[in-house]
Amino acid sequence: MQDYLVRRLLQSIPLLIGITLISFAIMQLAPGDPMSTMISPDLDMEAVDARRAELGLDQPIYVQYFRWLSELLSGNMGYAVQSGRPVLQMIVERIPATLLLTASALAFAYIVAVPLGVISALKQHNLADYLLTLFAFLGISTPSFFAGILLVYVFAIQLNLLPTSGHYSIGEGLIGFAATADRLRYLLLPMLALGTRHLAQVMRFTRSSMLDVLNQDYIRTARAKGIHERVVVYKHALRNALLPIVTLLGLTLPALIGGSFIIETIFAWPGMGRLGVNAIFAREYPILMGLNVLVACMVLMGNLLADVMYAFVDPRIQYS
Amino acid sequence: MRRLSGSKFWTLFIAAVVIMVSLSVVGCQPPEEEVEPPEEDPDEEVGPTEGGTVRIAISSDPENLNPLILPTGVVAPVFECLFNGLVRDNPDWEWVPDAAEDWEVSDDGRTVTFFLHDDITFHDGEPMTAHDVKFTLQSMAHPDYIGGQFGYVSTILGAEEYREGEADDVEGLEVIDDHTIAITTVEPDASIFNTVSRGIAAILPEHILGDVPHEEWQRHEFNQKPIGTGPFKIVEREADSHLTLEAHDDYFKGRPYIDRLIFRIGDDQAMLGAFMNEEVDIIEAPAEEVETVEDLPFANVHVHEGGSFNYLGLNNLHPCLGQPEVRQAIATALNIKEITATATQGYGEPIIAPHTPSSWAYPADCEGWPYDPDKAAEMLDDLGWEVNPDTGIREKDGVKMSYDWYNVDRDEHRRIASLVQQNLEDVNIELDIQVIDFATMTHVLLPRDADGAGVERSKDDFGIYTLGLTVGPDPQGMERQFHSRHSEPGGHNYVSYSNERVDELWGEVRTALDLDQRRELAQELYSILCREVPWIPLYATTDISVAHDRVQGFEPNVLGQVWNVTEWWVDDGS
Repeated sequence: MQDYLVRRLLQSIPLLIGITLISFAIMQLAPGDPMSTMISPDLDMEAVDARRAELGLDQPIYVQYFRWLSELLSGNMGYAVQSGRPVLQMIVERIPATLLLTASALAFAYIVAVPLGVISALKQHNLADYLLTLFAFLGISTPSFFAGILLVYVFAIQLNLLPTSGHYSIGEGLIGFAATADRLRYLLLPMLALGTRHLAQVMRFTRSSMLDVLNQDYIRTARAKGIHERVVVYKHALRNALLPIVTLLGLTLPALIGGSFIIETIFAWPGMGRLGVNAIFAREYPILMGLNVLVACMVLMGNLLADVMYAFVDPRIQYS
Repeated sequence: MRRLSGSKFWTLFIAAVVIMVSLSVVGCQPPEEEVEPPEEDPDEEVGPTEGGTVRIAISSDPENLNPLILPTGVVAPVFECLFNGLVRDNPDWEWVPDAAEDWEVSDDGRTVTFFLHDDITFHDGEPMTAHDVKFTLQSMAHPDYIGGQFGYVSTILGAEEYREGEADDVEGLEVIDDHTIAITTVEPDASIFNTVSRGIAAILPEHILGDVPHEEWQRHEFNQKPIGTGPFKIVEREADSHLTLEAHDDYFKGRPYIDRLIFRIGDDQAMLGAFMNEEVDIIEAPAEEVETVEDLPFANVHVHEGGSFNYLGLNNLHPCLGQPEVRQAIATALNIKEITATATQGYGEPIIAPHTPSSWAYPADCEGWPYDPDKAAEMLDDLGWEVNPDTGIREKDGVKMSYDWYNVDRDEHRRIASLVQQNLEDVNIELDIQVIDFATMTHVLLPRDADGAGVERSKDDFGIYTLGLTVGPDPQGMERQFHSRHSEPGGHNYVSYSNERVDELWGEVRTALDLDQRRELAQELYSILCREVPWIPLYATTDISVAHDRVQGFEPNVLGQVWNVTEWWVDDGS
């Protein structure tokens, strides 16, 4: 297992470098560089050129890339063009917000989806199953930005139950339980918007996986032995049915981060996603590259995590 | 058995929902008290009271708050609260005292002596003196300064020498005493007032930045939480979330009424929702949402001049745009009234010269080119651009009247595009519409070679482009767009316009310090631009500011929303 982990980690290094190389190249394809969004008739072009030179934008692309890569290896993600702040710092200060949002969306999706999927499977072709299936297809086919806007409209603007945007009541000076409750109120809508789609997917996955398992011979055997139905469902069926779902978990992570780009913008949530959206429009290559590396790492780690967890839930699988 | 387990899940699920909803209801209570509509008080006018918080929405995080470092537009309202200049602009676009109580112009017009208020302090308690003013202006001329605003101080005597490293000091900046500074320019220069205004050279603290080498300014932490002299000081910031400002108790013009100002950062749509839910007090509303906000019982809608305009730039080097007569015909073919109404949902004002109509420089007596497609067609026929019956497009000497037309990817510009294209098709002119983003647009307008060096402009760069432009109180700012000198590579005369009289007039406007004389010269200049149409001006923009009625004294105008922030006060109906 240890060998396997080491090998996988080593394998991801060239992969990561490849990803950064490609994304660096793609970014250069778009005409205009970070300085070009700042150009206005009030600015001396000399100064713009000086800044270009300072940022190394006047160098050939491969020089820029290797310079960036070597800086990255020494732990420096570079500096934002507009603010001159270290990119790493800008990302790090936004990680907690994004983590809170995505983790709770993920938790919400799985905690609700797995039981519902099980119910759906157990009640196959019953009213509950049909209703849940309907809900699942609605959830899968509703883009998260639409779900987000709809939630804001209904729960914030019409019903006035929850805040429309932001991540806590600024300037209220709340502390203790009140502060936590306040943050939860702000979290609820973006979490639902981000999580619902995944909830629907996971639910469908659980259902089909569960149905698959329930039709296996060993389930019939278990039932024939007179084992309590609850034990059959939870111990024998669900544990086996969870296998593909675990894989899904590893793959959901990057999708969630991607989704947070839109959701964070809709809810004015101060996380990495919004940083990314703003960086795209401002042609902030250093920030985009920084985010890119981070997300790439998460995807790779997510996959690795899925594989490792696989071994844990299924003793038949062994890595060597 | 199965049923039991199923119902257990339902119970759990319902319980979870109940918990969530009750959480939301419980947590909701404190703000709701605040939400109570203020009692109407028709009989008695309530005077300003101290205290309270006002929350303003801004669309993106002002990552850098040092006014001398490559600025971005959105920070203007924040600057306004944090800093002062020697002078500032008033709603009539005249210079009025700010940190300087008064000033005196020497007989030769080259030296302006500013007399400063003697009780100005920075947010950290240090007094502000003429030395800080000199420090600020001199910094803009420093050889290592890379903030891009040297152009503004370049007319000060000795600034060029200082920048070249030939002098230790800018000769034209003379501190007479702690509260008096004399600024001497090479020639009489009316634009010096613009330079020392709050919008350009906001006064920075020498005691903090004096020891920081200029090449480190770009990355200095001062840019995150700057210290100024303005009515508010910055106390807290959270990236992409908010900035909190508190009243500067020792503000030399008197402490503002409100205690706290919170700038909330969010996408326009998100902030509109936040306003409707009373989470922010002041927003800028898109025209299509005016009706929505007007229906809110607590909203005060202010429609005011936005200080910018949209125009079509015509490449003067293009074979069928070089002649002023052709450009006039194209202008005549455009139904600018309809374009304005459609693009702005009725909130813009058609213009005939490239400036905002409220400015004293705007030519009052120019008629422009009223819409008349038949006349436009006739004008083009007379110039020899005749319709080729095969293609339906005008031609002359084998050249087709067809343009590449570049547009920035914005809704407003897309709406302009559909109408302009229709108008020009009516007179048999072909347009090839390209929609690009702003960064790409700058590459079209400022052509560069592969190494990034500016190259000579040519007829092939573009035919027409659409852009918006924000204008300042000083018409001199437009010199860079229309002086033939600036059509060089890297210059901002994108359309390569050239007219000797116009070049001359820019010089004359600059050296005339008397406002009446300046008005006359500027109007002559703009009349020429109106006649020769290097640009086809479309319309001046209108901003729609919406405020919660708890905010009193809010009077947005061409200067923006926060220009009179010290006069705001909060009426929570108590």
